[in-house]
Amino acid sequence: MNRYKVAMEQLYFSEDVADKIYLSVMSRAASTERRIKYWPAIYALIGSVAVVIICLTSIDSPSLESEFISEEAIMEIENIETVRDIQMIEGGGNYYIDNVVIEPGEMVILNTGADLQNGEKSVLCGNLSGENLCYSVGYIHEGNYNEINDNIELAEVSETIISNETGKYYWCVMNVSNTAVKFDGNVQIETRNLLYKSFGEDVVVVDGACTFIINYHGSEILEEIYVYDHQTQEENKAGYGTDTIYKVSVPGAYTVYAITKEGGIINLKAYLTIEYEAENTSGIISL
Amino acid sequence: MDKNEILKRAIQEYSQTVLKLAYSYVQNSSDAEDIAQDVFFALLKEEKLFLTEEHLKAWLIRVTINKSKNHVKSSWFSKRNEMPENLSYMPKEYNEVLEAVFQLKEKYRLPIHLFYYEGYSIQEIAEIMKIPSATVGTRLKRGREKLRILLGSEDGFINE
Repeated sequence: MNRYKVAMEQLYFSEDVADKIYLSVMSRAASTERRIKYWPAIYALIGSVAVVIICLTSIDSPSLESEFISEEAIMEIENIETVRDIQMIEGGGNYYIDNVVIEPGEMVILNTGADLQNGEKSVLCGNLSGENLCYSVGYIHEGNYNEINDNIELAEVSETIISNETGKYYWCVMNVSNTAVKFDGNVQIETRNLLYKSFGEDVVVVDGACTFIINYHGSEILEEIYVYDHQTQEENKAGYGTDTIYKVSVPGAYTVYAITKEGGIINLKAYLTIEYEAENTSGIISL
Repeated sequence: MDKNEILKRAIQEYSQTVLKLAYSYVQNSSDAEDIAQDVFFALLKEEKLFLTEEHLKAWLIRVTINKSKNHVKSSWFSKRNEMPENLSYMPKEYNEVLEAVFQLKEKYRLPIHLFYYEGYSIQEIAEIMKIPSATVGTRLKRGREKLRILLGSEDGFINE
């Protein structure tokens, strides 16, 4: 058992705490029933007071409205009191924004208007300045906020999203310090435009979702099989032994290789069959 | 089963879950009991039918989180200057673990509580907190890193 669980179990509440809770709840329920006959008058009074309060607070209430995320979802984010959508300016394939002042407790949502295709990268780069600099960075996708890094105190920011489904991804910068900060930045979208780039003969280039069927019949004993994605520079274990199936969901350039029992590395392109999904039959594009 | 029976059984079964989750927010037994009373009063008034025990427990946890947040935000609670509750009845090593976890921000503390005390999986915590599983995983990882710094080592937190 972990130490936190043991510690929590030792937290002491009185032995009759369950009875106390039950009696208190029942007593509140009874008093609520007694109050029912006074409700019309109470409602009228509450209504009048509410109207006055709404009039007073609506004069200068902070905005939690955004086109990209619901108010309820914003309220789940810690330390955020206001939200502002900002349209970025396109230029040379990138999106820019200059001299945005972000107030304490404010989140700015950067809208490029562009869609990210599955597997594409969006890179946020920028500079922030201000006293007691402290900010968080995340993104909104499908109306949900996803935090990437929080409580950053560095003046330069550089974060990357690799999309796992096609759609809109909005970068967010939140000022969690107690003074205003100034933000200049840009968003670059890197497409998976790999099909016309040469990666050498050992690399497999595919133009759609497919399955790699690896059937090794050489003399070496294979320990583990890996697939390296040249776009994301990520390496994924595909399996063990001589026969392995690996699903590829995005177009790109891949190296399929194995570590042998002796510790060597062998390329498995020669032992690879590629099966495309039904709607994509264009096959492998050899380089 | 009538509403009173459901309430009675829910209190017997889940009062410790509710009390301890509330305690992790307010760090005070009497406030945690007040929150628990609010939570079970809300259950009495709830019209929804709970099809499974897990569904009921997850609902109680969500309501406890909301009531605890409201309690902490209330002006009465924030203006009060009360000394932290004395946990000297507890061995020092456990007291230290609780103090370290209670120092974490809510976004790290809550996944840690649900994972290590309630035994929920990352996927289940994501459903309760209504956030992606990957975010829960990241917060658990960062929470553990922060605890490692606060406690000197992660072993002090995890190993009994």
